[in-house]
Amino acid sequence: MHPSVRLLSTARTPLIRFLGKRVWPSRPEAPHAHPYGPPELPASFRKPSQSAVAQTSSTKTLTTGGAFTNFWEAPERFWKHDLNDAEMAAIESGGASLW
Amino acid sequence: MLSRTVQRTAARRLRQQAGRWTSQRGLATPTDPYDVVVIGAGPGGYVAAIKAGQLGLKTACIDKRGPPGGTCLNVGCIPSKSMLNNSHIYHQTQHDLQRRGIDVSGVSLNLPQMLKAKEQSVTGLTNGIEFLFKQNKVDYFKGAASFVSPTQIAVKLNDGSENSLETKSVIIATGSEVAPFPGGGIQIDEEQIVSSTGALSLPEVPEKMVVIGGGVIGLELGSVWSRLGAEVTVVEYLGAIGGAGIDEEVAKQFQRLLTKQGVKFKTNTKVLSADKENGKVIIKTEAAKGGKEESFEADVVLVAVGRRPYVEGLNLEAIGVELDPKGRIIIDDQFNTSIPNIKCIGDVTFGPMLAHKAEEEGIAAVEFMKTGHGHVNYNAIPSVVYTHPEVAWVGKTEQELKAAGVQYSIGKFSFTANSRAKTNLDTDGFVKIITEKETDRILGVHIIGPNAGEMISEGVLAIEYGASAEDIARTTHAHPTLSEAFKEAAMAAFGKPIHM
Repeated sequence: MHPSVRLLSTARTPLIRFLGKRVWPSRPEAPHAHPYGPPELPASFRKPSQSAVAQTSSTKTLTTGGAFTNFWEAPERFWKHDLNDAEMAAIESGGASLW
Repeated sequence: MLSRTVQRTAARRLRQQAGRWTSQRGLATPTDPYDVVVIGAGPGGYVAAIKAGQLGLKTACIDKRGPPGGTCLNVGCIPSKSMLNNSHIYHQTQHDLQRRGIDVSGVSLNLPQMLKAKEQSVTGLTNGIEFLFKQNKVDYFKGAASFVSPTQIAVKLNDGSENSLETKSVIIATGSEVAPFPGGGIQIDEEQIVSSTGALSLPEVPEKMVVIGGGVIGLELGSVWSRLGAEVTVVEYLGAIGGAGIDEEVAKQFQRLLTKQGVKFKTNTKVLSADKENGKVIIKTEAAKGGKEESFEADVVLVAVGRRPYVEGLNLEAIGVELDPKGRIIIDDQFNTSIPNIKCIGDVTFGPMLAHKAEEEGIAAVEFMKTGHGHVNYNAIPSVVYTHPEVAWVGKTEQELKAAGVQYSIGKFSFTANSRAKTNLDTDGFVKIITEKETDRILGVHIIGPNAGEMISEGVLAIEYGASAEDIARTTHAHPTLSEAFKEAAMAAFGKPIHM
């Protein structure tokens, strides 16, 4: 094949591409762990649908003073955790299993 | 165990807050609450506040320093750049003009005027921020903020009066402060034993200066006083200078060039103490791995061992904002803290303590509030050391890629082969571009040389857009410019450079 034709047939595709005007998706992004956060820390404190401004205007969740009307409205890590066998035994025995 | 303690403490706090909520119910504020209150008017805070104003949020910003701008504008990046620029001109006038065909005589240093020029730059810029606040309808409060609740902030104003702000959301951007010497063995008096703040305002050029810490701050300020005539010795615990993230090859060249300029280095050296005696400071050191002890004296000692998050007086414990063991406020990738309506950005939380990183986070945090979306690419945050030559980098170092087992290629181009550097008689340094071997995608850019701090933006853009070295190499760069060295390094990464 003629060298110039061969060159044309392998035209380079740049990695840089025009991305167009940025448009955010209609649904808020889900939060994840911060890229610089230590792995042992909680990945996220919030549910994806809660934006800060919107959230504080909601009467259901946070009220003035930072209190929650119901315990389940507080972040899960404050009230939900799986009990291990030793903890269950401690509860069932009234703490006696710890001694 | 720790997490259980945190859970118990947090639960207790919630119960306490629940009680407070009941008692506060029914108290109405005379005006509508703010949509967002930003605590801290540094590069992260003031940018966040302006962005919030631009997006139509009712915004306030609080800062106890008074003039906005935080550490960066008042006692950090900006005043140090003024001193670096002017000390460079002084040094060049004394030592470099003759070979360029310019004879000068009677050159002398007017340090008070140099310090005044620095102050003028700072004042001009901080006034500019106050103007921008007004333009974007941001209420600025000069005072100390303290949380009463997640939605109420007490402000002790600098004029002695007090105020209380109701807000729907908060951004904490209180930045960082100078970290003390580990173990507290060295007391900073900001006269003879100084932090970066004191080192920007020394009333006279010290005869001998010791810099503890060979990171960015230590090297920049050490350079300033070295150029102005001080005999500067940098003591660094690690084996290389330049701080975290610098490429080893660049660090070695950097140390060679600064040594050529007259700065002395003691690497792999641990400082044991610095005590004032008869108008001097006696510094005791030993080899980092133990062993040989040494003692020498200085007129001024600069302690530049790093910075730590600053949360003093915020009363975070009362509302349950969680900190990690290093004192940083814990956040997720949307800058949410453990309290739902409170976000946090900048030095006071995770990531490198850089003004431009805080700015990006400030904008993204406000956009998350408004739209649920924001963007900070932590792989594309540049670092710059504003010495001469400048040092700048973005992305991965060769050592990081090696450790991660990534196959890479390197393209390097020296400024000695760059026409503009040659005409400027300023040819120290090189551009090093690291690409992924298989795809040619740029993974890291490391520059030491004239104008590196400006040139690195091309590397940042390349990484942000996922460019290949060939993309850069096939992009026209004006001739003759220093940035041609960037293009040639890209050519070297995927093929061969023309001029070397």
